[in-house]
Amino acid sequence: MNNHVRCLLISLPILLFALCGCSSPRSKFVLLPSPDGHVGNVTVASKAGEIHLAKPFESIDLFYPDDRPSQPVIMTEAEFNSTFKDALEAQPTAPLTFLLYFEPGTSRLTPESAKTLPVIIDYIRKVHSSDISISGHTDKVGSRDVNVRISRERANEVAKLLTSMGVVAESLEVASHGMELPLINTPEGVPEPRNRRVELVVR
Amino acid sequence: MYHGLCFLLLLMVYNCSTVFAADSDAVGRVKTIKGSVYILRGGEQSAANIDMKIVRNDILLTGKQGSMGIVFNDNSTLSLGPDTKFQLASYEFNALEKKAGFVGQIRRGTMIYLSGLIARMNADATRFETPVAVAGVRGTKLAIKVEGGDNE
Repeated sequence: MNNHVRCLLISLPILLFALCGCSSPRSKFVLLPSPDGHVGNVTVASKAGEIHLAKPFESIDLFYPDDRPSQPVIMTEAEFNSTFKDALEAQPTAPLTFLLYFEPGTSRLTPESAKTLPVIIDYIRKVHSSDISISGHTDKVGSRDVNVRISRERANEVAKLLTSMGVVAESLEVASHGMELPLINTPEGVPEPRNRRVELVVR
Repeated sequence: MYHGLCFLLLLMVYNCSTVFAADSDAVGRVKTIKGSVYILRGGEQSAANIDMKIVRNDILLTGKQGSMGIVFNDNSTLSLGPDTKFQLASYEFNALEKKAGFVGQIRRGTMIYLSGLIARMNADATRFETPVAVAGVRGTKLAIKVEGGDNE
């Protein structure tokens, strides 16, 4: 056999293997601590088995669907930061929830809650939010219908206060839920200041 | 501690319903963008922009220098690095109907996910699929890189 042909016959499978190797969808999984320091856990499963990641920066690489996941390794923070640099920089600010409380049966903010409004406004400006949800709630004193009305008035009052302080009305989504979604569960007729509230989620 | 947990749980229950009452189609919004970023929805590809709504089954694509960040209705966040293809295969978040679930498919590129209220409602309802494996995420932050995947 011609030497060239023999060479080709030998190298072709190697070349094909190398090409396949290149396009095999290697997957890397890395467990990270949450911003509050909490570390949950992740189970990585291929067709051949599964493995748990439970420590910060524990990672596992898999090359083929029938790869059996082996021992995870700890990725250095430097290596992680360079591998995921752009995704890290693209992370959005996590939404923040504010609670505002009201005087019983009214849409009048408690003095303490009135004081927190400027803090909220500062935060909205800081994160340039144009996506804010406002929802009104009541405790379980009074009838359902009355509470639906009060919760709506509370939500509208907060929307009015925010727009009067310069927040664009189009950024706001206003909803009201009456007494149906208490933070603190109580029997009907029981006053509960923590349920007389508006929840404001800034995204 | 117990009261704290109760508070958190109730806060969570409440939040979900609020979001759903406001908009039942959008499940998240684009919050950060760099370079070229596209959303493929029902076969139509369009350039993504800030505050654009994300719906179920959207395919998110970033260019060679592109990246993007999304905040979902349950307050979970997702960011994608360059040359990434990600599909939001499933998203359920409705406290009143007790539905919670998040399934993402990353075909190539990099992503970082930080879990939100869905994970607190159902710890086993979040997973990410790559061409070779599936990651079940229980209330935490996870990064995935897929190399040499789908080049469409």
